[in-house]
Amino acid sequence: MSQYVPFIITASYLLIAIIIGWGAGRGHNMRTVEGWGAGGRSMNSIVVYLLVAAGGVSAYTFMGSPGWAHDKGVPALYVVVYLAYMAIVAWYIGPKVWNLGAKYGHVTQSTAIADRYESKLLGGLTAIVGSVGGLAFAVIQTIGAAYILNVMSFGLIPTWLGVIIALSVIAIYLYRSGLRAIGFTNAFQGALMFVVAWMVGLWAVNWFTGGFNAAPIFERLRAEAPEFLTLPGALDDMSYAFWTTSILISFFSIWQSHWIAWMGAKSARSLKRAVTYLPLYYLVLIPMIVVGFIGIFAYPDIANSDQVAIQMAVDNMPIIVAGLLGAGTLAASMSSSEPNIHATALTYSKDVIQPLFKLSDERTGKLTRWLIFPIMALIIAPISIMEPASLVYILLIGYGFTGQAFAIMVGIFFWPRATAAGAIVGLVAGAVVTTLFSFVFVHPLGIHAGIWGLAVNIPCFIIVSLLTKPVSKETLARFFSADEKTAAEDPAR
Amino acid sequence: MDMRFRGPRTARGWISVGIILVVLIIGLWPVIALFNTTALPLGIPALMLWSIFILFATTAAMVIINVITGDRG
Repeated sequence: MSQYVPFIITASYLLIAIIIGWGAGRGHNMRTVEGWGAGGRSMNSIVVYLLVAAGGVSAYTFMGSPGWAHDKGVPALYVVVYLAYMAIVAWYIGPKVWNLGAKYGHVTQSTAIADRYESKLLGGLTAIVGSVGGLAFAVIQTIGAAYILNVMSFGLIPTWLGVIIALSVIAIYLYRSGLRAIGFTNAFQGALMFVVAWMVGLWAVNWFTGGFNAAPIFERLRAEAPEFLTLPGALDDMSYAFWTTSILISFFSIWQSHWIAWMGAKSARSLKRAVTYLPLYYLVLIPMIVVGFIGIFAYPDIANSDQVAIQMAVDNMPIIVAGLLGAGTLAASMSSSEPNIHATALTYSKDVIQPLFKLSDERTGKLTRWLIFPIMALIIAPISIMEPASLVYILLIGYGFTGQAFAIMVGIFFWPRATAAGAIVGLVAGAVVTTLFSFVFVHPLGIHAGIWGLAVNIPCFIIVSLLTKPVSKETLARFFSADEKTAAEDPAR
Repeated sequence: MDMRFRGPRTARGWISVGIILVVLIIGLWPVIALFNTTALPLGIPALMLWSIFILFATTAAMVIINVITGDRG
């Protein structure tokens, strides 16, 4: 019976998440886009910090990063670097987005795009293209959640059932409390993950070396398999070019779910305060990567390296630590899956269905939260059960697509001359090139397909914008005059 | 409406851009190649130590720019 204690701890996490998520919406009107979608812009700095941090830290932390360290070695660290750089984007753009949203009623990225470019077509297009990445990410996280339930239950819960359980739990509190549920469950999940990652990492180092110094692990690695300590890694597949361009495309990618999470802050100031310290949260990855390095010696022939940390926990760790790792991994999966389900429902409803069927705001508000059910049942669940071959590569493709909206962001914040026609041509050209270079001519010259997409997207965006008529002065004044006014009033900026 | 690209308008703005560019460059090639060795500073791989440094450097950069621009959102 004691063998099931880790599973009971892991399953208890689901119950706690339901209680927190269900209660988060109390006293708030969830029948409006603003209430369900942006949590009424009511969350303080600490909740926003953990909301954004936990949203960025996915199942990759507990499964993918030890798996990559086990298979490849130091290439796993590229995620640490790109997460730090994504924090810069949140810090710079987040408060601007919040101010615009509060002033003009934007909740989603695509609504802001449609407003700035005076084009509902472009808004809808970015909603759909952006959702490919978001849904791919949600699928990966759901598979991660199902893996955990499967392993911790010693196979009693098959993967298909794990997918259904994880999605059902998310559905309960996401339907009830929207972004506030994500905020408050992520706050719990974020704290849990940080503590668990360091606890497991320190335990694993002590188990393997008899102390808390990781040096013996790496000294042995240097003697026996030094290729794990340098790029391109033990599988010879992370060149300098791929490291650099994978990080850059992640930096250029502004996810719909991140944008919406920023909207949940109670002020631009509280958002800025929170995201300034975001990179420090990503220290959470380091101990789990060390666990992966230990796995090179402890589990040299493991069939699925993504499970190396979990397997080590189940086989060797005290049952409480193993249970907490299960709960932490489940938390990581769900905290990254639910914002993408929420964001996809919100943007499909607000930016695709509402303009297409000319629905009222009230009707759209009621429809939005119902959309999570078809998204889960018809897209995420079936794909998760089919289990595509590689988790991380699907994610990279998702980033590639999401990164194509970067040029459009430039037009919102930096370049008034940008037009909808330029943005559409650039987006379509970039998405076509990204797809082609992801599946047909894979990452030519070792450069990420998304960067090739941007290399075509940006010139198209500039040339077509210059050849077409800019949007009205009234719209441009709303987006750019505040910037000019601030600069005039405060020359120090 | 001035249709030109909006860049920094002041020295402090340009310094901020410079700080961010430095932080970005230190995580990419060619700088990353300097740490691509089997050396184990502080007992861990050089690239791991450098990645941890980047987390702190990124945070420090944002804190410094918040202070020098006075921009708190």
